[in-house]
Amino acid sequence: MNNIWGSMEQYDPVVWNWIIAVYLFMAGLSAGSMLVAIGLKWYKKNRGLPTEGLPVIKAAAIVAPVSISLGMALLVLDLTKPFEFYHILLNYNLTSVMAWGVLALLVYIPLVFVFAALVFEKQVLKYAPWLAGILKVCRLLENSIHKLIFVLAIGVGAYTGFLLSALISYPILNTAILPALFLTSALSAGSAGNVLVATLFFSKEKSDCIDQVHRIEYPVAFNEALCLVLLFVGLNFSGPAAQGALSAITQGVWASVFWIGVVGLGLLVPVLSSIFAPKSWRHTKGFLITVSCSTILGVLALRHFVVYAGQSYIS
Amino acid sequence: MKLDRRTFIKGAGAGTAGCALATLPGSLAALGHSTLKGSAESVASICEMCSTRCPISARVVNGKNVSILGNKNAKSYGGAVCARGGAGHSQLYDKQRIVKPLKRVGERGEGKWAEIEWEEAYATIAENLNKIKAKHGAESVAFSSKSGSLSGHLFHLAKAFGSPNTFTHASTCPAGYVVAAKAIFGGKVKRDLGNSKYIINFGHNLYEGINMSETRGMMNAQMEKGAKLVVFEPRFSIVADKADEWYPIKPGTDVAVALAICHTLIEDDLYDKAFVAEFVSGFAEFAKEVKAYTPEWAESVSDVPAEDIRRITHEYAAAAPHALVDFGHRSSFTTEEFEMRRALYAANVLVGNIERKGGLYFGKKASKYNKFAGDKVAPTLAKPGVEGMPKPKAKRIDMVDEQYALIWSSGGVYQTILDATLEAQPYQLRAWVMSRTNPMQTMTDRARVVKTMQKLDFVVACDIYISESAAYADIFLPESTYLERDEEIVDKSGKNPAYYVRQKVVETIGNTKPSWLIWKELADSLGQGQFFPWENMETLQLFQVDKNVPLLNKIKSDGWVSYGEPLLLREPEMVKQFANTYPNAIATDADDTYASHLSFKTPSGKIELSSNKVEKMAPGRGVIKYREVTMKKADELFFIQGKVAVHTNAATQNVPMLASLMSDNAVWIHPITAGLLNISSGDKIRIYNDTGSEEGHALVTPGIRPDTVFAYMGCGSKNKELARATGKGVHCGNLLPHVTSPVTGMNLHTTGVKIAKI
Amino acid sequence: MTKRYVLVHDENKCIGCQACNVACRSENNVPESVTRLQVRIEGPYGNFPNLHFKYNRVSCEQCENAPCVKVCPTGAAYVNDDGIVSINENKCVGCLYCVAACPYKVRFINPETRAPDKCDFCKDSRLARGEQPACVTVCPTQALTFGDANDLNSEVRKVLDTKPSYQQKVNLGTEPRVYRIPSRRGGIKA
Repeated sequence: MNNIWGSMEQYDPVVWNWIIAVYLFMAGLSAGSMLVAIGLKWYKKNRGLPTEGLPVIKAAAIVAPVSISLGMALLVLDLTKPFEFYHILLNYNLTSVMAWGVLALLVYIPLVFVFAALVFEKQVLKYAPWLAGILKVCRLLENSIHKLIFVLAIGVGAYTGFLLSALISYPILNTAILPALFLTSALSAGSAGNVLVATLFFSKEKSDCIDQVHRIEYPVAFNEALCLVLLFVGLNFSGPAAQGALSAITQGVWASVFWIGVVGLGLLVPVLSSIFAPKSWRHTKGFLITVSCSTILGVLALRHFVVYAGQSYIS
Repeated sequence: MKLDRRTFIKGAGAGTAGCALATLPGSLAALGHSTLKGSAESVASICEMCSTRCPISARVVNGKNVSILGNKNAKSYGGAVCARGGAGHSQLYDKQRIVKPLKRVGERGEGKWAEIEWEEAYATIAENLNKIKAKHGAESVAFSSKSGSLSGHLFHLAKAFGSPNTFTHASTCPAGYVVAAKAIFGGKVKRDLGNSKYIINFGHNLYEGINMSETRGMMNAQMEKGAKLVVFEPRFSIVADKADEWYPIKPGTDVAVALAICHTLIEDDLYDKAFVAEFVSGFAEFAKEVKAYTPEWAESVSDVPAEDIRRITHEYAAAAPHALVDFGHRSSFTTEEFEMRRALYAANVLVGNIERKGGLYFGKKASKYNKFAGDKVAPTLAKPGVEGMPKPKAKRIDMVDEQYALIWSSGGVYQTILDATLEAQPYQLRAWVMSRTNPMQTMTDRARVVKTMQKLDFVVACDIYISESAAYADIFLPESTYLERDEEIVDKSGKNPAYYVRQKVVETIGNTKPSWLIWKELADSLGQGQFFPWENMETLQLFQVDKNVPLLNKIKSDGWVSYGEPLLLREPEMVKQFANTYPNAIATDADDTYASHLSFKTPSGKIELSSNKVEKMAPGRGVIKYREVTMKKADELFFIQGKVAVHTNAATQNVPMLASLMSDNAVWIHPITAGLLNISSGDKIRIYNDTGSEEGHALVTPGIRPDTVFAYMGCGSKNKELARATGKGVHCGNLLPHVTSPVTGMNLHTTGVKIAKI
Repeated sequence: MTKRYVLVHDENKCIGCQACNVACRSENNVPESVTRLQVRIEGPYGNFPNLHFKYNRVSCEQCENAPCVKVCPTGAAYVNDDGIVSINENKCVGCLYCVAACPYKVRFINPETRAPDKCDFCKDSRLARGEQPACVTVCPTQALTFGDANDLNSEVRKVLDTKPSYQQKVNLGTEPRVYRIPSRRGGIKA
């Protein structure tokens, strides 16, 4: 039958676009970077080692606030009514994952800036001496703040997954694996981001804990791969619509993004290079930059894959 | 209530408004800025988005929008309105609508126009027509209009001017069933689908070519009363989908199946002998002829299995007289149109369903109804006549062949305008005044229509848009849409008398005029003003009701007024009820009916299954007979067309709301055929034959016979003024050959085409 | 007693004529580029010559358990007392979460208000005046029945109690208030 009912344009199942994918990535990057930095701090502390001036922590103090700010900016600009953004801060519908996300971010974002300010206390006070009092109080509460950020970062990392998994009609999105996948990939991105910035701007010598951070990439990558396997195996056993969605990784442009970007750049490159690269390379700047960039691109590809392929298959 | 046009357009027509034609002279877009007035209270009126002309109820909402719904007072319409009717306001405020008279400043059809005042338009037309009249006679000017509503005013002008050559679109659309009915019954019949228990339908697509009361009646009969519907159609249309049985019949062979049904009714002794004996003339000749038309024979011709024809006929006879064979609407499927429609009527006559519930019946206008009631149950309407009207002396151009005599008074053989212009047959035509008609689309062989337009000395078009045909006019007269017009009261009697009237809902937009006023004013310029003695529409309305103002007001406020109860003369229950209601009613027959009062305006006064009159007009055609016709070459596919629910033939393709629903007519091709031609859905294709060539898209679907392709008609306009329609889809008229069917004078809508992927 | 407005679409009576589509656009001033309602004629399905079309009304399903309402961060999407899924444009920031969440893809951004829009059973216009929704009123073949399912004597209740019906995507637990009477024609994949 000819179409006599008019344009079908508005029925495109892909509602959220690359802006959302980048936002989800940025939020994950920020959260992951905080988790890695605070985790490292606690690790060092437990062993009675000094934590001041660690390049990775300095890097996190840059990566986390910058990425979450950029992410939020993208998110707000993507609204159809960006100038009425404030409504989302005044009205909360607690059945909405997004509302919880807003609440978490509302606390998380200032705390990340506090974290950064404490890391760069000297520099901050140089430009804004009037912050001395507040920073003093914050310094007293530093341990609690770290704990709080750690919890909130887990929240933010997982929330981006829940945000999508609440879309019940998309089989790829509507799974419990997604938050876990997003959290693990947030850790990947966070550690890679920290390593990258630390290597580029703060590293003075070989050690500097970059290696330690680098080491957590194996279990994280393993977890990420596991999540992906679980996701698609799960789809295969969740009825015809979900099964149909499996073609996301076999057909079309998003299958290429998945295999080249998510699996290749995000998982295989970092893992294989860590195994096979000659020892002499491992601590060179170039190696670290290449590998962390590859990881970051992989996670960015993952977010795009999930957003686009996820919405392309509707039950 | 003020209605600001600009606000409205912003809401309703934004998407396609910014077309290339935003500056077309005379368009609403070019003139802009006028504020409009409309009624916030519902006004009862009549739709004109198609020829069904449903009763509507319309009002201006919040000064921004016109809401159009059905008029609930008209029960059989149920307050419903179709997509086209609901979109009427979208046409009203369309920026591309022409609201100022135009004159051509370039070549014919070149699309160069200049705005002029009405006075100049009238003066130019009067000068040209009077010059032609003086030199060549008034008959060398043809007048044509879509039938109904205001066409009478144009034809009145033609008569006053002195030309007999008036034409409606009939021979391009519905004349087939009208002419056949005249031959058999002496006049038009109606079908009582709503009460039918068994309906046999030969591609009368009531679920896409919506005729509100019939569409509703048939659906109600099917779904609420369990009526069975059998459809014979080459395409899986919506009506085929809703049918209990669908037979993909070979195009143009309906007549064979209809004759086989008649054969079975007679040979298997299923027909109503008493009815035939009393009311039918020429049965013996007919029975003798159809003896050869066995279902097996029909199967060999039509691809419909013989056993099904036989079974269906038996089922049909069992349900009779509350059963009917639908005689269809738009034609023609074959050049044997006359025989086909007559055979369909014959299948009704044989089961004696005339004036029975669920069968065929005659309209009961007030005068007839009152006669039966012995009382003035319903008021009658007076017909204004004008004294001293000249009688054109010349013969009509379609009076070449006596066989078309039955259509001369029913719209004429429209396409003879082409012969008269191009071949001076029977004499040279020199000018054409057309109103709301689009022969470029609806007449066959578009190239020939173009040649005709180019050859004429003078062409006038009156329309809402510059249609494909109006694009070739010298003077374009912008008509007000139906929402801006008052008109005469219309007789809409069915089983009982009913009237309704069109009324203005919004004040006229721009510089348009209702066509009744245009023709009256033009008559003044032509020097025939004395033949238009009425001052305005109200004068005419008051004349119709014989100055009965309360009656006029009632018709206006209700919009639809009906009188009495439904009456079918051979339906005992109805007649009894009728006789009980009206004490002075004519006495009923012994069988509680008015059967003895049933009369037919044929020479014999009976239903003429075979007709001497027809035999005289068209020798060999007195008796209904099958003749083999070839409509395509062996290596061609049948090409058939049909209506879609969201457009009216060639009229609505540029209406914004409807254009955005559908503006292309992808061609239906069966998967097997498509496979052989290596065509997939959406592929660009060329569809061509000896008449023309068109480009379009393919729609591969099992809903069509493998030897047939189908397209919805009306798309593919070629003039740039219709910006939303031009160049979209296949132009059907450009593929149909110029052929006139015997007796009916219909042009032909089935032909052969070839298809190629491009 | 609270109302529970439901709509029944009889796919046997529906002829896909788009009268509802146009009436809805006119009544609700829906901008040209978007639509609240369309009836798609899908198919024909089946095997020649035993074919059938599916008449698929696409409009808000007025879910009892509406995903759009659940995910809306500000509560701009809400279910009204009469069961009609509604939109408070003033609270909306335009995050598109509801548009993405709708399993039926019937929410869209109105280019004029920049807020989501969709069928609301004409609640502010026709329903408020005690009339039926525009689509129901104009339907040429009376394929639509609308009313309060909590009213024991309502026409919808009678229709739903006496005819087989289904709802779309019930497996998602949305509990749509648009019911469909399936076509009487069947078919099997060749």
